[in-house]
Amino acid sequence: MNPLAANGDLVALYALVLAPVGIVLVAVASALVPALRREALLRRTVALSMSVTTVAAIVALAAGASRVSSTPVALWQFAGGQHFSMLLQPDLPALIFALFIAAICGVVAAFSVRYLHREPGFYRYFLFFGLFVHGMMLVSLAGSVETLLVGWELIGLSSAMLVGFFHERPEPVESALFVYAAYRIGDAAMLAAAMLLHHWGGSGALATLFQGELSVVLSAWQLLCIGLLLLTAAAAKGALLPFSGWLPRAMEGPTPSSAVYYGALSVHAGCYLLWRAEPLLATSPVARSLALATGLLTALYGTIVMRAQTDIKTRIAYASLSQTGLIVAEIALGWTTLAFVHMLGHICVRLLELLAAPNVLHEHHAIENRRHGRGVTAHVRRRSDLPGWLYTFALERGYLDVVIARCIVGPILRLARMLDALDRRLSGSAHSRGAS
Amino acid sequence: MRTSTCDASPPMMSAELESVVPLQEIVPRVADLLPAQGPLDLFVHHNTLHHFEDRPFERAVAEAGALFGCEPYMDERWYRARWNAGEISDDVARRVLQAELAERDEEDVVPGLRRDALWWALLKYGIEELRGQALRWTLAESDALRRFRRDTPATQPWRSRSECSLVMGLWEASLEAARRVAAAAAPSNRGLDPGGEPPNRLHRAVAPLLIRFTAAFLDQGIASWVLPRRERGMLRCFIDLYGRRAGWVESWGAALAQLIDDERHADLDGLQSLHMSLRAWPVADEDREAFLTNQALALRGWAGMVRQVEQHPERVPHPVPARLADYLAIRLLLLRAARAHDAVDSIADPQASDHRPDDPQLVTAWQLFQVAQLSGLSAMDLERWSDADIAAVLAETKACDAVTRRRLLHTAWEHDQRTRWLAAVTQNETPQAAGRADLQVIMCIDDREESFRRHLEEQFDGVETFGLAGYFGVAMFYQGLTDAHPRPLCPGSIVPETYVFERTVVARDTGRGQRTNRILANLEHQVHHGRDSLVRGSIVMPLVGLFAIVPLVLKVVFPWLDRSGRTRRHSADEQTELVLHREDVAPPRGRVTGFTTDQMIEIVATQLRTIGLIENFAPLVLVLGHGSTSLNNPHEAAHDCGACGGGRGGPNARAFAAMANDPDVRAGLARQGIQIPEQTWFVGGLRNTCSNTVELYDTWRCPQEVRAELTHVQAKIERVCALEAHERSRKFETVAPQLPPRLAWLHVRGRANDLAQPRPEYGHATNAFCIVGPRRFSRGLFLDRRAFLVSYEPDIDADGKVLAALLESVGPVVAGINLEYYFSYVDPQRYGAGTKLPHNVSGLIGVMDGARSDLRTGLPWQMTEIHEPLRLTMLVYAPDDRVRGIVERSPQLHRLVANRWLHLCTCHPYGRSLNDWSGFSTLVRERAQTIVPRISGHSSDYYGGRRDPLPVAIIAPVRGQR
Repeated sequence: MNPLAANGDLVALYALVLAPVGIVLVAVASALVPALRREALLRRTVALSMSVTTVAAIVALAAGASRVSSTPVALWQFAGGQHFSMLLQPDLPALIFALFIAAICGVVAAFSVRYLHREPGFYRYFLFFGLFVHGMMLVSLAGSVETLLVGWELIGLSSAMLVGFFHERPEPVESALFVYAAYRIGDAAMLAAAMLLHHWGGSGALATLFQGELSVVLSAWQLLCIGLLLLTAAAAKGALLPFSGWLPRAMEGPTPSSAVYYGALSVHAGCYLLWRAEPLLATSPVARSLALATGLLTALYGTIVMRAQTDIKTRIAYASLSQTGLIVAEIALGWTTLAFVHMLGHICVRLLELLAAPNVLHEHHAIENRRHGRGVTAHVRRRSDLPGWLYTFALERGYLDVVIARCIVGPILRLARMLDALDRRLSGSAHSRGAS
Repeated sequence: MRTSTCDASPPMMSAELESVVPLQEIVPRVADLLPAQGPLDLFVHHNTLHHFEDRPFERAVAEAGALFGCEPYMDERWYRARWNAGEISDDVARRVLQAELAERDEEDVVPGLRRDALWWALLKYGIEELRGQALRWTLAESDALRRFRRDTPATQPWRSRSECSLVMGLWEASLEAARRVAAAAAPSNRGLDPGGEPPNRLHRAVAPLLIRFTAAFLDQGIASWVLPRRERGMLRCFIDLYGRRAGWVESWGAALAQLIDDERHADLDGLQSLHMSLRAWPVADEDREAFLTNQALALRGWAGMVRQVEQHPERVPHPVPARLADYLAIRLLLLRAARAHDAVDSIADPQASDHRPDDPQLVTAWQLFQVAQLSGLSAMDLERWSDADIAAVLAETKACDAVTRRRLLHTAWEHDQRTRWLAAVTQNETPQAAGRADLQVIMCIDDREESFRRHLEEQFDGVETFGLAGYFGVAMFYQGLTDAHPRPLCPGSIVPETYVFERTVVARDTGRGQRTNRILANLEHQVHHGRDSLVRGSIVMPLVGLFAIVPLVLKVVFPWLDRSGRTRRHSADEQTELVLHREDVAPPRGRVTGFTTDQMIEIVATQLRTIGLIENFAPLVLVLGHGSTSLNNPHEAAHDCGACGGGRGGPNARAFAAMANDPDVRAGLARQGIQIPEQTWFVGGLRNTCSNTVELYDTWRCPQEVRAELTHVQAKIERVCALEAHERSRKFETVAPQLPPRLAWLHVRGRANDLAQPRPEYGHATNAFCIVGPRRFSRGLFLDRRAFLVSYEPDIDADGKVLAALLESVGPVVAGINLEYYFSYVDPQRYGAGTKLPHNVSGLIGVMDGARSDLRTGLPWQMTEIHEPLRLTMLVYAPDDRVRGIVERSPQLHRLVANRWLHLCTCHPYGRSLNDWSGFSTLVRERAQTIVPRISGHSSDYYGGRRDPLPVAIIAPVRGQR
């Protein structure tokens, strides 16, 4: 048998994961070498790279669909030990999701090259976009917790950098910092989960986790612990309660990046993680009910807050949140097929809605005209007889910011100041002792 | 006026009301400074500094620049680049400088240094005005103290191997000189902020809440929940919503609740509350106006929108009782609460870094150092100067500071461009009258129609074109068959009285079709809104969500495939008409339904006289309004017709054509001496300036013999559309220059339909000129879509009445368009709306950057990026005294012209002698000797393969080669 044909699906898999890195390399090169700083060059690279990714995803899916069970494929083996390795797990749902990511990112890339034409940050944008696609691929195909962690970090980093894309104004930079800080909590949880998995389970391979085999090895509270950490990581990335405060702030970047991150892929990365880890959740009733509660509360919160938002992007963000919450609840209930279809459908609809957000005036008039025609003055029914407290709750986004500022940021700040004062006193006394 | 507020207020207030009265006068004065841009879908171009029109342009831009923190002109380096590129000739620059210095130009500032020489060097090479950190950095890190400036010729002789020591010597001498005059040159202290301005961190603390609340109050339909009982006014709503719950909202909310409770703001109106807060701040009485001005300008987009809705509630579909006084009162309450909290628990402000104070001596030394290099002075020259000499040189550099230099550079560049243009335009010889035209086309005066008219005339000999303000004299509230609301279609300065609607004559399909359509629309609406709701969304998403990928790919990757909803409505099988004649139907807006015959005669006669079309009618006269459709563009209305108040002029053109075809109207016109032959037929239409398509109305009504001709004409128009698309495309960077016209047309149609396209068209960008006069003087000129073309026939207007009406309506409109582009280009971040990429539509009335910024007014960068910031030059073909008389009598025109917001020139229609009111007539005459490019063939032979704005050329068609 021809070795290339035998390894064809392997090549496709590598191409799928690594092609987006090409965008990153060309963007970096154009930053370093002025002669390469041409929009057309980067535009062609993006087109080529996204086409390769999509074709590779189709090939890998076609090859992967014929196999029943899949063995992990090593992307990178760390020297000095078999414990740490970047594995890919090309099973069917992962490949479907990867193809979906490739298609969605391809559309967004096509959108962005026209939308960001002549923008000074053109190259910077695609640098982070490339990192993002690479990160999404790693997360979707992750076979070991190391791969997952790298992908997770790339998504978070590129996300924050694109929120702060317009760094000449203070608001985007502040928002980027806020988003990044929220992500870091999730990242810390993810890192802790990875360490525990290694410590208790002996390896970082996710296959055991995803297939529920760990329940044999680990005790109930160990499972609960890992489950909760994963839930925290997913909640931070997916803007579930209590992390929802960063979502409206993330709308500072260019429209296509807002769309692909917060309308489509990035916010669903958390759902996808929970979806993969559903067998683990299933073993622990506590983790499961916590996930269910988080999902339902987020859904309720999102739908209430959405109703009072007066700018289109924030409104879409909260509308999106309510569906994300429902998807998480579906996963917690074990309705995995429904959750998967729901997730893919939601990504498509929301992406289109956010990309077309500047079109809202046009759409508003068109629908009004088509529904009513001449002579009818009735409007879309809008509630105006609400109790004030409910309205204020919705307008002020559930007072989440203040609650967090008081209960989390405030104490931490006070602790930091106390430590700082202590530090000064100790070092001051040490200094005076040294002087004497 | 005092009693009513007295009754409503608690007794304790009545004694203090005396001092409330001035506030009532202050608030409107403050309001005048706010941007006057209305809601987005009624976007009308206007002078950004409209309120400053009562003073000269140069003073206005400097004053407004200081007040708003905006740039008055382009950067000095920008002008110098133009100078180096030959766009400013030394000759014009010298004239401008001479005019500035008057007779003082030859005086010596110090012995051996003449004033004009010093100014010239400053103007041509400039000084980098450095202070503080930037100066220290330059001295320490750059080679400013090691090498002489390379851009000025004066230091040429000293550039040698020992240059370094010479430079250091000069710098030491400059430092020494600066030390000697240190006392005299102490920089003036910046004026203290009136009334103790709140620090920036307080503003930033309160802004998010203020923005959220103001947006919620003004919202016109994005939120599903309307702010409860907002008809009570802003302040009352605010107190109801936040008064008690404030503690939950912000860390300083408790202080706010306390404040509102203690001072009983719930019982006060906006002015009273404002008064109370001003006293508590405290702000001295004489500082109030300055203080409130700063408060209003802090978020001037939102404050301006509050003011717009207050003054023109009819411009929004859901009127709300917005008051600027309420807004200011709320802002002050928030600031006071934040300050009270700040005093207790101050959060370190990352913005307040410790600025080291300027070293005045260093700044002075730097200036002297630069002047010496510019004027070729050595260290010894500097040492010889007395203290008085040094002071004189410094005074001179201060007089010629950066703003002055930019003003002079701008003036020079502008006059250079203008005179070249005028010289070229006046060289055009009048072509021979080609006999009777077989097609006449009346279009809007818009600069974008120039290329369309030119291509039409180039391609077809027997075509005559006219330019007329695009509402064609028909001021109306119009409601199309499928419109939910009527909208005004006329200039913003007119409030129409007449309501006109469209009705079906022969329906394409029966009621069943309409019902289906309505059911489909409802279904679409359900899906559309369903995606946002929790329950419906959870059903829609899993079921049909994945199908959204189809429109997603279609609209983003293949925009030119999707043509839905473009040309469906006026297809031949559905026949509709306008109800133009007076009917006894109560209009939903306006006073009456339809026009009387006399009104119609008046409208048609006036318009035809204005453009001079009173005889020699062609068998077919097209009347084309214009509009623009684009996707994903909140500023879509900014590309529509300004004369229609940001609407599309199709219905106006259609109405005008129907009036002119009416037998009663024609009889009336004949009585007035305008004989329209029986075989002449008018057809109205709409030209889409974005997709380059033309739609003709009521073609089914044409007489049989016209219909055959019309088919022929439609083919002609299609060809011109493609050619014009080709010319437009040369300015789009992503379009290959050698694209054939057919493909260029396909490309621009795709642009109109492209979800990912932030520049569907460039609109009025590069507009700079306006010609008022008969087309025969400008026919054959390649004006590069930069000129508004207004038709006017001086021969039939001896008393100047037509011209007076024309200039009074057209002058402010075109100057408004031009100046809005000027300011949005000169300072795109503050006068303009910045880049479109992060724009976020708020409340259906404006755009924000991201989710919590000020409302962005002005034009986005993607609309203006290729603009050339020239003030408009208006050339009127009429006797000079006639125009002078008109301008003298019209206060508005006089203000614009005398204060140089607009340059006016006249050219006598017979003697062809040019009179430039800005004083450059002789230069224009001198320049008239220079050669204007003459192209025989078509416009594309001239512009082909070039992207930049092009100078005027004369295109002579090759005859007999159609």
